[in-house]
Amino acid sequence: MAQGAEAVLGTRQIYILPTRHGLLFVLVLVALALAAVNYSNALAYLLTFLLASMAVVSLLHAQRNLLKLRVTAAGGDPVFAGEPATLRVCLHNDSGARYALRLESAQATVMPFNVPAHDTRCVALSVPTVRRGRLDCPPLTLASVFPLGITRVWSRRMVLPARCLVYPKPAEEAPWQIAAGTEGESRPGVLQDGEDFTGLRTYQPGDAPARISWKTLARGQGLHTKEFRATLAESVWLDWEAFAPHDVETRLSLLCRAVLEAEDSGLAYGLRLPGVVLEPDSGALHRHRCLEALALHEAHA
Amino acid sequence: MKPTPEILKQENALAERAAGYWLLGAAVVVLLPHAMRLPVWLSAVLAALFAWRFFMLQRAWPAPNRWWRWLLTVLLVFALYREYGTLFGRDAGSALLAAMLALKFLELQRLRDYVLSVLLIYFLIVIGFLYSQAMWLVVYLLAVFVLTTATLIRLAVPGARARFALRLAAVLLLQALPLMLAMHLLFPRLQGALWGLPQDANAGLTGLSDEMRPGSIQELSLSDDIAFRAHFHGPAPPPAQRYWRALVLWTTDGKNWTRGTDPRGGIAYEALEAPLSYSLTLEPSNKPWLPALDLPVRAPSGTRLRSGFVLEANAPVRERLSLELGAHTRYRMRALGVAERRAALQRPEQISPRVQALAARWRETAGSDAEVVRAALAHFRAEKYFYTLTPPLLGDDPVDEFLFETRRGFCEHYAAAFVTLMRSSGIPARIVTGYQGGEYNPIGNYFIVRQLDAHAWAEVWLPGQGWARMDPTAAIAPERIEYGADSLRRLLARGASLGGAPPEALRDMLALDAFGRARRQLRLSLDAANSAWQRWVLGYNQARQREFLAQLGFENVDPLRLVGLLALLIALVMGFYVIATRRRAPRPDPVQRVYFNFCRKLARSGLVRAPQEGALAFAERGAQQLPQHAAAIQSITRLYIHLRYGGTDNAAQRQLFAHQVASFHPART
Repeated sequence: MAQGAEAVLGTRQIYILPTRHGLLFVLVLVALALAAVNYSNALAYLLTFLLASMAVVSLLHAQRNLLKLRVTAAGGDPVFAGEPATLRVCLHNDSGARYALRLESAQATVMPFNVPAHDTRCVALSVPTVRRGRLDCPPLTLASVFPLGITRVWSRRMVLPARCLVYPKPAEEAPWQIAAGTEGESRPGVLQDGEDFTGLRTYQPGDAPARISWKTLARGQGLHTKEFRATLAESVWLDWEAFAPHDVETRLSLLCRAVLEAEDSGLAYGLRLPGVVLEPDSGALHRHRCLEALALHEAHA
Repeated sequence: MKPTPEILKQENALAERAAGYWLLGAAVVVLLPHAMRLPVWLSAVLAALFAWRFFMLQRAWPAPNRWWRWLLTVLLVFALYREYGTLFGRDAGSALLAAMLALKFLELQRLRDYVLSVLLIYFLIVIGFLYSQAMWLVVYLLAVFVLTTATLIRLAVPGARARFALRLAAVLLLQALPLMLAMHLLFPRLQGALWGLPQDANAGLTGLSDEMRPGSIQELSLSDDIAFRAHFHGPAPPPAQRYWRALVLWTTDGKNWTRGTDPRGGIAYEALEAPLSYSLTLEPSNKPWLPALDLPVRAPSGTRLRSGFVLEANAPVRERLSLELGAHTRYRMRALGVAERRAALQRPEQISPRVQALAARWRETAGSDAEVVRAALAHFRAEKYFYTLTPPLLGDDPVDEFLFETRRGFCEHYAAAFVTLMRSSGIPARIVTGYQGGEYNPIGNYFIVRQLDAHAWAEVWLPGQGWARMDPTAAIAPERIEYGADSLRRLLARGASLGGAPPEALRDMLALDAFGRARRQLRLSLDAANSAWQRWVLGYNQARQREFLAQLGFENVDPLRLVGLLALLIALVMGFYVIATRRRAPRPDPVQRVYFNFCRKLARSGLVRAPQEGALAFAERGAQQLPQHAAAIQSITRLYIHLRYGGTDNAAQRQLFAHQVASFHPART
């Protein structure tokens, strides 16, 4: 397996075999040769030879279509587990144009595309995700039926170092057991520190999802929005320990939802995981740091 | 796994967008040359099916549903069977293929259907060559070949532009030519057919018949198909000596003349001059006899000489045949064998009293056989005999009727009457059929002899001389011999009187206007090209291949070894190519070359760049190790990075860069 920052396709990395159409082509060649012999027709011979020679020449074109291509890959934006991750695979071409390239992995295929001479083309490879963590770029194969469709040339499987971050899958229901407080103190299930809960009103479109009363919804009483009297607290702590009864993945999943909701509701939030403490803050970068910490959490740290 | 209808629809849409019109166009152009040959109804059906396909593409007409397609297929196959009586062989097979292609066009669904259609078109191209190997057809079908290949390319490369596909197809074709040539020369040629001789391969070939009945050559005299071409290696003989003999007819029943059984015992002759040598290229005639100039010197391999000095191939000529021949135009023979004399005096059981009386009168008045012959020729000249290509029909005793009543006819009538009269006078005589004359092609320096040059004449045995050619037609219409059959036809069409007109008047009548001359010139040029093509390309057969291999030093190579040799050659070429592409490292661009030069200079002063070390990191290390050159190193590196990765291509900066590197001398300080 080719390994490294980029894969370069040399002659030893390229294979070639006839396609099904190629076998049909050979069949026709044999029939033509028989007709030529039977009618001892010089031009029928000549045309049969021409077709056969063209097939041979097309092998070289097919091989050259992949030869010395450099392939690199880069991870795309982080996604939540269950969503397809997008990897960018780039083909760098240092010589003549390449045609009808297909990028194939075990789970996905990219439609044929061309790479102009001395140019680079990148394609998005969409890979389904299941688990949180770092997603390695799956082994890739570059293939093509260029130029006549009668042969398929393909590369050895390439393993490229590109990775994509996969956040845990957010829990369906917000835990709403955000532990808030200053310095280290946490009381599960209690909202405090300036959070003056005044009551529920009927949900109206436009209300922040973070303020939806999930509990009443779960009880089957319809959508309600929680109302607070004052501005929200300066900081809440999202604490690993607060979800102690659940198993690791569920806790991460719940924390993930909590981070999303806290961010959406404009709170400053901190994250406390075994071995990791992220001070309360807000914003896209902080949200990413928190989610990354959740994604990369080691089960038995 | 069966693909879902949506996937099928998508695949079809893609293939149709790439090659819908292309495939239709290729099918139409490949079938155009066939259209004349196919039955009219089939051409009409094909045109209708293609039109339907066109509207399917253009106006999104629906395809007929499956039941209609089946019905159409069954009907077409049935109609073809009625037409040809079979579905196999060249004629029926090609008609069936054409019909299948057109029907396939109504149900193109998957990429596979498109590819299959393209392969069918390749097949039809080859079938075109089974009918004609003319050069114009080769050029035309090569163009079709490129179009077909471009269609295949468009199916394989989605979104390929028309120009790209056509260019790539042409490039593939050109690159395939050397390999094709190698296969052409080395692929073992087999002689003869694989599955019995195709009955229809020789349909429609014209040639001399081995039976002569007054009127039978007439069919040939209307055909301007080429019988053979002859190229003389020295000066060509004059028209009066260009008699190409093919058959000697000995036996008659009063109406028909046939070869009968060959009389035993050959005749030795004495040549009176050195032989002429010439090469003869025969068109296939499906007959074994070979027209050779009087008298053939020897029989080349694959042929033999029969009694009467006629050359015959060991098998009917079914493909173009090239022979190297020699001829003695002047000769003398000593003695006539008993068997030949008997055969040459054979007469039908009933000869009319009028004919016998005429022969007897000559015999009585003449002193020798030669005088009898002269009297007979004088008779034809003096009496009112006419040369015509449309003679009246003759009844039970054609010789009598012709001589005394109709008096109109052409070579056959005269030859038959003459030989009958000679035999009645006791002079051994026989009919010779073949060709006379031929058109000279100054461009290719050869003679074209057509079927319309077919001719019949007589030979009589004269003591002391041997078999002597007597052409009674020449006595009636010397223009036939002097100007050739084609000119004679034109003269007759203009109502010229033969046998007495002054040559100037005839030449005036035969003179062509400027347009006619240009047309003739063009025709002769084309024929010269065609002839060269036939000599060097089409005539390549087992014998030629053996000759070629012998020249290369391979004697008696068996076919399997030949295939091995061919495979080895291909493998060598491919292997060489693959190795060559692997060894060739990518060529650095000019900027990079200068930078490598810079690195080499630093290497000489002990600073070696690691393979994976970036230019900036290397410069930093260099500046630390060689502080006295730090400024130069940094400057060169900055410039290099700017030129190579900055995206701007500035000639002045490139020059500056080259100059800085050139004047950088770290090792000397």
